[in-house]
Amino acid sequence: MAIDKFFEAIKILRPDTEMTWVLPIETEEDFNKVQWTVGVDNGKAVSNTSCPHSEITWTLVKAEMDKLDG
Amino acid sequence: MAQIKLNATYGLTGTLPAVSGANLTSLTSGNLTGALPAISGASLTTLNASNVSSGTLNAARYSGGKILQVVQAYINDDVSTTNTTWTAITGFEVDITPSATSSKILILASAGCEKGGTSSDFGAFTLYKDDSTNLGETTYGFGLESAEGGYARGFLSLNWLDSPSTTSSVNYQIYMKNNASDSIKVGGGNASSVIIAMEVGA
Repeated sequence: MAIDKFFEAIKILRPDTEMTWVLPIETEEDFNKVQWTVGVDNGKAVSNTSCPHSEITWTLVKAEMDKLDG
Repeated sequence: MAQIKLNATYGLTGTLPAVSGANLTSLTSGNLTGALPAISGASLTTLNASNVSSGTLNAARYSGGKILQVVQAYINDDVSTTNTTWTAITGFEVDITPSATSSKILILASAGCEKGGTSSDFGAFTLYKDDSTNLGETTYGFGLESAEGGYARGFLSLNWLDSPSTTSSVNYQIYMKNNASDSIKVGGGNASSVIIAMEVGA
């Protein structure tokens, strides 16, 4: 399985974050399409593209991804 | 008594005697005019279907098992989620408008899938109708993908026969979720995830 560096970076910054994404996440434009889960409605995830977690920004994610590259 | 006269100017004149049609051994269709009498269709013993070129067959004239339409959709994306609640997979869905309320809709879906996590983790897939009705089991949907050894790759094959009882458009979409931590994914190397809806006539 190819390492999903985006997912690995998220696990470092904020473990157990719930989200849905389409690979690859390589740019800020890709990052801005991630669906962040913000609630539950009748057993289904409710999500949007506005990240509700202060620990997760594109800058921080990119930095962690670069470390994984190193 | 029938009488036939031979005239030098007009040839034969007069009235033919009553003769049996069996004697007309070389009558061509080009010489026939006028209207045919009402005849029973049961007499048309060699009518070829390709000669029926217009009109609509009554549904009662053919019986069940008819595929009335087929719709397919697919994605070539690797879609992952860490969600522990049912999550729609964008594009892994199909819309179909039944032509009759009595029709059934056969759904066939397949995809490669991957699950990460600990050995006790699993992911599940299900089928939602119109984004509101889970057609599978509430927790496990249509099946599981476990994360044996921390990672597993599998294949999703999901079949369902639905009776929507409507002639309005119906949406069928694949959802996925995790029981606990880590992620589940459809695709894998951008492999195609395919969903097909067939309308089956009653």
